[in-house]
Amino acid sequence: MTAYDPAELSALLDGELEATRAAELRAAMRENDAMRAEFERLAGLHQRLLDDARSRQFQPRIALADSTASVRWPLLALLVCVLAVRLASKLAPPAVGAVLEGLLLLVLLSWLATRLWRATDADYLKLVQQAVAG
Amino acid sequence: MDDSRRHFETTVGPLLPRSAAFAHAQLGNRQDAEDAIQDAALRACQRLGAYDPSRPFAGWWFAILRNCCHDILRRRQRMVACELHEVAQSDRPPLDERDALEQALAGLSAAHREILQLRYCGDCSYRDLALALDIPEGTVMSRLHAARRALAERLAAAERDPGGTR
Repeated sequence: MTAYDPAELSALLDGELEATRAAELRAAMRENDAMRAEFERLAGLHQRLLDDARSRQFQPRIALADSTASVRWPLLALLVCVLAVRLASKLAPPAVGAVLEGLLLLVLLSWLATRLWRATDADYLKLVQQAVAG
Repeated sequence: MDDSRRHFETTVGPLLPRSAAFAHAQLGNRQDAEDAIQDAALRACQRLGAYDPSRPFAGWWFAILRNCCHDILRRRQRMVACELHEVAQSDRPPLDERDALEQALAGLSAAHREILQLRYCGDCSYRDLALALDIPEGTVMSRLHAARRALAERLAAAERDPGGTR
């Protein structure tokens, strides 16, 4: 009778055994009812787990763009705008400076409103979950 | 887009449905699964230079995804603890085969559950599993077998006692 490690039955099921060893185990199974029953039990479970795993598959939506870049550029643009407005308010008459500052504030508020408008329920849910988790 | 990122996309692309199944099995819902995959994709992109091409890409990728799933689980640890407590207290009988399987999987140790999820949902080979779990290949074979036996025993016990009155 072929001696075997019970874990080899799992490896046989997974196709991870070398061909010669797999053939030896298959031959041994024809002679050994207990071994064959154990293999069949594992094979039934294997199929059940495979079916369950397939039912969980879906195509996730992910963006591979560097998320840090999308934050970095608007911040840099904002810094340049603030500096430009501060400089203009020093060089130009006060009225022009006030208009420029007003325009900058308007742009900032529009950008914030757009971000809030585009945020999905999932984003809000995530924020709440993070807040609850501490 | 540079060549390395394009290469990354073509390599990770085919793994995404399996990754989604693994993350879903770990986290229990699609939204968190997508978040984990998104985090893993960004982390993997950043660490692409550290990837050793002589090792299986799937194992490397699933190691990162596994860590991202763990991070999400840690973040909502208190909530999960409450949910598990509720499930343990409910003692509800399995509704169907899938429910029975889920309950049996939930009763396994974390190490056993995770190796089964990576093997089946992630379709990982023993080499991939060794890399993803950072254990020797010999340990993969024995742990996977022990996990299957433990699961089979739990399922058999549940079939003998479907009301879960144990």
